[in-house]
Amino acid sequence: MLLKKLPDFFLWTLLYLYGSVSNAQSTPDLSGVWQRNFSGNSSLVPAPPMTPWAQERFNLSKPLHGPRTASATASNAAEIQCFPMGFPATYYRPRPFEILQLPNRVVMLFEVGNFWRIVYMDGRDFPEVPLHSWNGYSIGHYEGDTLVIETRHILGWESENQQRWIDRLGHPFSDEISIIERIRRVDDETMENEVSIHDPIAYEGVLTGTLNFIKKEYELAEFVCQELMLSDLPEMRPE
Amino acid sequence: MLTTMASVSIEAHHAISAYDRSTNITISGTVSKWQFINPHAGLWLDMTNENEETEEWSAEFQGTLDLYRHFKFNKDTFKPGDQITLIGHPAKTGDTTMSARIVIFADGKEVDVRSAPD
Repeated sequence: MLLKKLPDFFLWTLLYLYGSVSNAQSTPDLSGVWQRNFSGNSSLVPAPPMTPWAQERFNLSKPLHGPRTASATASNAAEIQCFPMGFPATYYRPRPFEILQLPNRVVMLFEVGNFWRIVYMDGRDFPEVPLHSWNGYSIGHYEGDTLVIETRHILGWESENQQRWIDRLGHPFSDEISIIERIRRVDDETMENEVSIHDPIAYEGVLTGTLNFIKKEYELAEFVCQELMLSDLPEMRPE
Repeated sequence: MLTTMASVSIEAHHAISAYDRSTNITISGTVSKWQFINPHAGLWLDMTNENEETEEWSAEFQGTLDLYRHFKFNKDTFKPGDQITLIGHPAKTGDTTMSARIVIFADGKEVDVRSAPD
């Protein structure tokens, strides 16, 4: 009796294994270490259409990059204060980051500042009561070869000395910002992220642009931003 | 001498504003301090000027991980007493500080620290 059932058992085992493999294949492989392939002096769109709210705050920003570059000692950029920059601004830093894909989440490890980000992939919605944070709350899912991430609840622009920007050029965002990222692998060496920013307080319409990344063989290493405070270089220390 | 930058895929925090990138200066001297830290490493040299006076110069480098990944620099790359020549951009303020571009070690080895070979 048992012997008669054995072929069935093997058949079901094979079907189960085939199912697992096809499931695995349907998840795009984005894992590995990546680095930006665009200028840190750029923005998602060349001249974001700012609302008066944003223009007023943009005028108070003293960025470390772009046409309005201020010295490190005069800048009020979050990066010189070692604060996380949220998204997509973090991608504008030149430091590499690693993507780890787990069954129920995607983890992004950013070398800069040793920051990390968890994208929940288990079908949950945003928390009913938001807990605004520097890098916000991210949920995601796969659509074919694309990882789709939505991020909300990022701490928006606070004050002249607590700036939060969508880039490194001083373009502010508000608590209302929501960001949709569509990340897919173009080939073995390249990954693209089509980013859409919706922030009705700060910008007219939706800002959409594509950021490209190159695969790197680096192993991530420690990058403690606060070391900045130890620097004796005259141009480095904020006052 | 390597004076052209093949590729500049790494960038300083504020090189645009703080240093005069249109000018190169050469400083030779004795290492007094090497701060191998982020986001920018710093090197201090004592240089004897034409009046036989000692001037203290500082030089800003990339952060530790760029220097390590591309050139295998670490906290022991420079030691007090080493004889070093630096070529780089002077500070716009006129202070004795610069943004380092090329390092020439005592044995003649040159490293273009502004150009990452990737």
